[in-house]
Amino acid sequence: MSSRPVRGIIALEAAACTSCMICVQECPTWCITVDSHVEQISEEGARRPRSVSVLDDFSIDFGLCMYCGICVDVCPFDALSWISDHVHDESDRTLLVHDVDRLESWRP
Amino acid sequence: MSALLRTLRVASHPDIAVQVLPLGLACCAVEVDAAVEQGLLVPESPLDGPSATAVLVVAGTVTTPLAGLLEAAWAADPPPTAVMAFGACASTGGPYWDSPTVVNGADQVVSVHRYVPGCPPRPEDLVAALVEMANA
Amino acid sequence: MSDHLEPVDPENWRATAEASREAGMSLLDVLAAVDRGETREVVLRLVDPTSGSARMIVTSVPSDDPRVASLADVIAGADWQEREAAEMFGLIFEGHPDPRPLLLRQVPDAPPLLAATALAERLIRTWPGAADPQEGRRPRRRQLPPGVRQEWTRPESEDPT
Repeated sequence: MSSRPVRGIIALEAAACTSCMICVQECPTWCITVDSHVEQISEEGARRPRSVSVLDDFSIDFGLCMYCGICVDVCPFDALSWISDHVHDESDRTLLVHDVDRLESWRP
Repeated sequence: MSALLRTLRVASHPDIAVQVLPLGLACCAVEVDAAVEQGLLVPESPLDGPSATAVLVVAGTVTTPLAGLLEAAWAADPPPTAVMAFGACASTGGPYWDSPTVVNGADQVVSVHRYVPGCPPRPEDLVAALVEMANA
Repeated sequence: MSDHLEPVDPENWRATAEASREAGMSLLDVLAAVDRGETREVVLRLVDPTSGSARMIVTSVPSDDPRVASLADVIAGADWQEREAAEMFGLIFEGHPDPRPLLLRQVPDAPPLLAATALAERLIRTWPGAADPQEGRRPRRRQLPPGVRQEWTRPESEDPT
């Protein structure tokens, strides 16, 4: 009997993330880290530049994660989602931390 | 300690049999048992001669009173050849990283060769990790 | 649990438990403690194993004198549960035959499960949620990190990290 977990890995759609930090703040295990900075974008015809958040990095430490899914539930932009697969075992504990590129790669 | 060694053949990879010393410390131990209950790992009589792979599977939270037990299991006669941290607690302390009576990962006490994330991991994840270790 | 929680004065704690056991409630379901700040409570649930009926009683003692009569000789299961309640909540069970700590190997500075006892790791470790991505902007909302109680923070500081 082999089955895939419904809630196995958490994937990130980085383009949808606004660095609002709500997932980081709600995670009970403190296993999410988000780094971002603000850029000013000048637009033609606009009187002033507008501020945008630029995501520098988003990482989840799946070694600490307890897979509760609170981050997926609270994201106002649905940037996080459950993927039916499992986080692979590793020989090195630091490889359990998935950065933004790896979290994006889980999206189907 | 050697009396606790179990020889298990991997159902999905019948050419692979591993010796496992299960150290079931908390909830993750249930998933280790489930792997056998579900027939993913099939118990066998002990292999003749020394096994190339004898894995100490730490399944559950390493609390401070049990750190000594973990050390003793690693130093057993005959000693395991590798250690698997099964689940978040054994890997990093998991959700209990903040507890003063929890050791944040089996690797704070013994060498760990394989980390299996999950809270808990599924029985299939135990099999995948054992196959990985047998092939290493 | 849908049982009615019956308050019992500390002076009647033993007698009430004894009477319940005599009436057939011989199974100790749980003996637990609750920190109410000024007071501490002990909750006891007894079950009749034949009929399944249960009774849940609670007694309250002042936190500056947290003594409760031990039930260890009334119902055997209370022995270890009182030892755990004692070390975790600072309760004293008078007449307990073996008042040693049950789970803790070292005597802690303060009973670990009291609300006022800070979980040091949650104050020491930098909370990733404290990072403010909008430099120069006030954080959208000030909140405590998960796992940190208001009681642990200095009154004049809003940001515990």
